[in-house]
Amino acid sequence: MPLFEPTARTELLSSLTARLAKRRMSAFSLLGEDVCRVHVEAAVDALERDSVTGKAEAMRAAAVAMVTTFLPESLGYSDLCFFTRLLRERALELGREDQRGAIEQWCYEHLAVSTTHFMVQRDDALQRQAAKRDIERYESQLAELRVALDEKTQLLELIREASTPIAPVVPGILVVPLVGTFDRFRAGLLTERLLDEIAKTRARVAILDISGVPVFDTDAAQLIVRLARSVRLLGAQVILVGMSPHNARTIVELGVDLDGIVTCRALQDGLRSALATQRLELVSIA
Amino acid sequence: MMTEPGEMREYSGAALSSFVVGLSEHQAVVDKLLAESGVDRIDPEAWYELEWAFDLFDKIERELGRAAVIKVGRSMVETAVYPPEIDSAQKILSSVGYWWALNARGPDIGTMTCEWEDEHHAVIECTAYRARCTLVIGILEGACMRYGISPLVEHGPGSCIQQQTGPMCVYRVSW
Ligand SMILES: [Zn+2]
Repeated sequence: MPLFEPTARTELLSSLTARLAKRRMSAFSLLGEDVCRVHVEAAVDALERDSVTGKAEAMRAAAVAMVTTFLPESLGYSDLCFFTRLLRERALELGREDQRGAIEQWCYEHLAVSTTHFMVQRDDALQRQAAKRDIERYESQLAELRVALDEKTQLLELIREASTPIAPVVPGILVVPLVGTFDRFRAGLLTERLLDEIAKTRARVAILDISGVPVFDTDAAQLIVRLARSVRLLGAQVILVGMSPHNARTIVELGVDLDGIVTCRALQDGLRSALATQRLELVSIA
Repeated sequence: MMTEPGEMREYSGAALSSFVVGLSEHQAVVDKLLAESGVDRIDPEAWYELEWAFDLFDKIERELGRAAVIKVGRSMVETAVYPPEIDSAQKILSSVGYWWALNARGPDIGTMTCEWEDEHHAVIECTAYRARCTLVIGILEGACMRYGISPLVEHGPGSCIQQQTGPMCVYRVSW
């Protein structure tokens, strides 16, 4: 004997569908009567099948599908209660008398399963939201870092430009006035640019003016020696000018070998010496 | 901002002052906003222009956030004096329409109604003029909390006065 007589079943389906679809401002009314009917039928179907087996098994799939369908339309906990309460009321009224206990039990479990699934999904949505916020935070941090990096890069570029001007005073001769501390970092920048410039201008001589370097120590001297070797590989030579008496003494005391780099006292002397290698000379116009 | 009875929409000074009292921990902000609105204190006996009062609510929500306004809604109901026959969450929720009618007057101020799906599920439909859900959610929570109940208040989808997506807000209160 079926749980519902055919006419009672039709009445159950249509009344539940209509009530759900009419529930004002709810996920049910938003998705409309057709969607509501699908889920009402699935629930009634499950109730009938479970009443045969005596287990609330078919109910699970139906409850989960219902929650999954309506959740994106802001399904609420009160909607779940409404769905199960309505189903219970009408099923008790229209179903077989001897199945009342089974219907009650089934509805109880239906609400438990749909609520659990509802909680799981909502928890999931909250986690996703939190993850999204984390990502947004990382992205904004990254954006800030990028801006900072850009600023740093621009600053470095500025330092590069400002700290190592390379002036081609005469064709074939470059003058490089060094100002400030001469360290590994600046030596690296200078080497790169100077070699570039020598290759580009086919310069034969690079005059390094170190009169603006406050402390010309072993490290700085060794960096210059290395720089001079690289320059030599391009077929040019380095002339060191502007050595202060103090720096000269230091270099002697430290026993630094300048590896045959020509040194001159002042820039003018350096220029004269460089011009000589070019078979040119410095003439006073005064 | 005080008004004479007439054709205007008005909001009661008593409700407004209980709102302001509820915000006492943010006194400085409230004083500043009141002063900006041209008022230095709320007279509980007077009636105020409803637009002005709700503009003030909006400013306060922008300044202090949703959570603060919900909290004020709660404290407004928790501290309000109700007639002795109102002695349960069911009764106080059922009377929410009177609460609105007591606090606002004038043409088209809208209504708040309460229907029961069963004894622990109420549906509040609100068409109150310029209703602010944040405040209403707080008020509905506070109404239950007055009787030791922590309810779940859900705002139905599809229409909202504050979000300007429709002419009404539906709240479902469960516990
Ligand atoms: Zn709303």
